[in-house]
Amino acid sequence: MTAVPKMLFAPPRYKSSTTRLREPFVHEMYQVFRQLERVSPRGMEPPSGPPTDIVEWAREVLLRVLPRKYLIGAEISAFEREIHATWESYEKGKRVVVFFPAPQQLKIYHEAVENDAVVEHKLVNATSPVDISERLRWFFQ
Amino acid sequence: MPSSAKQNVGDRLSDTQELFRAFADKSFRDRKRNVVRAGAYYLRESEVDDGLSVGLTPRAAVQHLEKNYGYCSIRVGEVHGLPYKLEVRFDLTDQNHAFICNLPLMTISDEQRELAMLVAGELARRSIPITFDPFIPN
Repeated sequence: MTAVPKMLFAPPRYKSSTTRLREPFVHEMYQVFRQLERVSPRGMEPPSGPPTDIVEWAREVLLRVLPRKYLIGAEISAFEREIHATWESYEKGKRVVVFFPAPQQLKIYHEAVENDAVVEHKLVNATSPVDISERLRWFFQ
Repeated sequence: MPSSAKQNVGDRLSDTQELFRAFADKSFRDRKRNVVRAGAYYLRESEVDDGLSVGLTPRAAVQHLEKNYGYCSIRVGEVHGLPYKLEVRFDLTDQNHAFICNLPLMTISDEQRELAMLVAGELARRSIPITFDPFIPN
């Protein structure tokens, strides 16, 4: 039997890595991902709520297009066949709701409350997911 | 506004009556911040004919739900006091049950969607969370 070089049997060397830890907003992405899974047809028993194409549309906008920092505090819910993403700050008196009523459709509602009275509110049809970023910039100010 | 084919709707409730709204979904409430969310007052298409379901007792609020995540309360006077022509009316089939009538249906148009958001937010702010745990009547 031929001698096999010892190094071939050497156990693999694993290095610890902090790459994943350096990645910002991983937790927020995971939370949104998990919430989208919960409202997706396969996450519901029996299947109901938003159809797969709307879930995919919301997934694309929230997880691929929107800057991750804006996922902080996002609450995803299903309403009828729609998906809603809500950001609400009771301290600042601000609320933003992004509606995904159909694939490629976006609507954004925002309101500002002062002393228990609504001082500003508006619903717009967004032309691009970039519009969400602009509204969320206002929200996080 | 929703259609007016109200079949089970009776007289208007007095302003002093207390109502209970069940949390049929976790998203209806924010347990960490101890508040009711606007989603608790979004009208569904299936509710258009009569209105949003509320109980005059906690038991009546949850009775038709398979699951609940607690419930909140709100005074009828708070609902009637809002400038949106909302009315709380008895359910003719159940004396412990009522409907919040004339809530906007958001899926009809953008105008109704904006109004639905506004009204739901107002109702949520006036609601008092009672419990965030499932309420199972004995």
